[in-house]
Amino acid sequence: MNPVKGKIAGLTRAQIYEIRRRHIHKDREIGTRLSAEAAQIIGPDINPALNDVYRPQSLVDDPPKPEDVTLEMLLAAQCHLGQHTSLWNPMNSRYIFGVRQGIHVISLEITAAHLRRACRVVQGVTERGGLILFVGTRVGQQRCVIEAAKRAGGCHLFERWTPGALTNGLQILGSCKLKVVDEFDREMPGYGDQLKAMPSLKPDLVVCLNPVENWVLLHECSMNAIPTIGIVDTDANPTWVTYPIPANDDSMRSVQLIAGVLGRAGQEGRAERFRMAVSGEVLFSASKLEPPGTTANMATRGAAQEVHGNAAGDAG
Amino acid sequence: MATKLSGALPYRLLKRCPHCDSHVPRRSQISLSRQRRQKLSTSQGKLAVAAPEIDLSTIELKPPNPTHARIVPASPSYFTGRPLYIDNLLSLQSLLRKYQTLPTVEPGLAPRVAWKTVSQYRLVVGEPVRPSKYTFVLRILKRLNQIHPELVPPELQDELQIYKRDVDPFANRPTPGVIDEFGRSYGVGRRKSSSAKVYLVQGTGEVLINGKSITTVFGRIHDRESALWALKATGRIDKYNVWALVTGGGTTGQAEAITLGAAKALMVHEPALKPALRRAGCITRDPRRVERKKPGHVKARKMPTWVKR
Repeated sequence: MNPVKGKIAGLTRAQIYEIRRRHIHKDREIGTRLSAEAAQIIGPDINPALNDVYRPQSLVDDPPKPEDVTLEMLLAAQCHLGQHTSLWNPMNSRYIFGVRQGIHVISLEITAAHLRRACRVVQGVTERGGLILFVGTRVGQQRCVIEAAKRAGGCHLFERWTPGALTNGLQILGSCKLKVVDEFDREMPGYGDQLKAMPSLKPDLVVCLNPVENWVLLHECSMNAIPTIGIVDTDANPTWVTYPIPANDDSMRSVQLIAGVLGRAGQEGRAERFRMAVSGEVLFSASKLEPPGTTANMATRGAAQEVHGNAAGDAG
Repeated sequence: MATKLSGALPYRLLKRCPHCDSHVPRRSQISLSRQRRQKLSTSQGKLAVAAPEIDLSTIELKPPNPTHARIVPASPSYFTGRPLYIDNLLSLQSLLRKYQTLPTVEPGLAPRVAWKTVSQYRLVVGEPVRPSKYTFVLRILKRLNQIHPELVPPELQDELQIYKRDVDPFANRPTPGVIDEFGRSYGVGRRKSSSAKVYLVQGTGEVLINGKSITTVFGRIHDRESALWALKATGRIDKYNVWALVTGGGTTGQAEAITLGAAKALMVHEPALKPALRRAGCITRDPRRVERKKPGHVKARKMPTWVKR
């Protein structure tokens, strides 16, 4: 055990490391620093070189809020690095700052502005009870997509998009279960029979972290009038998405930062929705559902069973 | 100190460094323009902060109101088309992250488990899961199975039980042979259409087959040697007496059947001889049978002479 300062009576090196790992200070500028409480336990400067270290997991566990994003942060996350100049899409010329070492450099002011706009869209959708789908199908994007969806109360997709999930929803998503929730996202039982007859759902907003590989999904969204947000690199087509975010889509750090920030925006919108619901204010209209257990419901239940049978329920 | 970027930025984004006489990038707070920042600071004395998050657990919520009901997916994996499989995969991944520091045993020493097959798993989830996708699940299951058996948490045991087959085929073990009160062990062997019951007892090397001596039963020396090959290969011809009852087939079949039966009976007396008997070729039951004759052939394989016309 190393001789260290502070109240570390009986702590092993592994335990000290564990404390450092868990007490992550909310310093989003550079990386992580020891919090005051952790510093009290194990001493302030156990090794000064370890204080200002970038911990990659912090982008997934504790991403920054939209208002805390700075150009330095985007720069450190390599969001400004575009593709080689020979691969560019000239439609992106308005986002490009210049050329350095054969690659296009994206202007971070423009990136930040577009990211803020996308955050506002995500927040607005979640405030109104909308369903957001976060898509990131590249290796290393799974964790950040799941976390962002969890924060925004939406859905995630990190494997290949099944073509036709929106245009042929009955076939592909017909056996996937639905539920009915109230304004606080609490599940309401008793609607099982009505849900069996319901068509498949479509998202209200799609956030795509790699639009180049998911052009089929984006095309289906445009056919169904679903707005999309996407990270548009210098070689991507910005017209494929409704709200492009010109940034680097090849770096995992860049993608995790942007996904984390959008997830935070969704989290804030969701919290705002709950705050308004407590005072009785609801910004969305309810789905057309019969109250559970009414006579009208009984009649439709028999009709639905006749038409659709029990296959959907039994298979699931 | 001038950074590399300061040469590329426009003048309005630079400021003079107080320590050295050069231009450095200005830190931009893109969330607030200068006018807005001034307005807020003058009107409120500090920057506006968002209201604290509401803690739903402390508030008396009204009962669920159907007028605000909306339909949402039951699982966040809804749009994958295979929500139950994806949710299973994610829960296994999170369990692995949680328990990955627990000590493990070598793969060969981990408890032998029969995991569900792809078809069985498809029946459980009711989704079209590809075998290549199911291998991701199996990989995590095998890694979790390597955790030291005495340290497996109950939560993990319950989760792994879902993926095990209903009937554990490895629990079906053959009952070990016993030596009776006369010191006899018993073994059964079969070859071609012959069947042999062999009794082995500690003795001096006497052999009786169907009540007769071995020279009477098998005229061929090769057959005599192969019948007692299990004892000869392990050097125990003079240690055991053999009593065999064999029926069916011909000389070779009966001799080889006795080989197998004697080997099994010998393993009851001395189980440690199994590797030696396997090297001698006495353990495997030879599955070959006489192939039937087929129409159009003279024998099983032989065909009549081919004629051009």
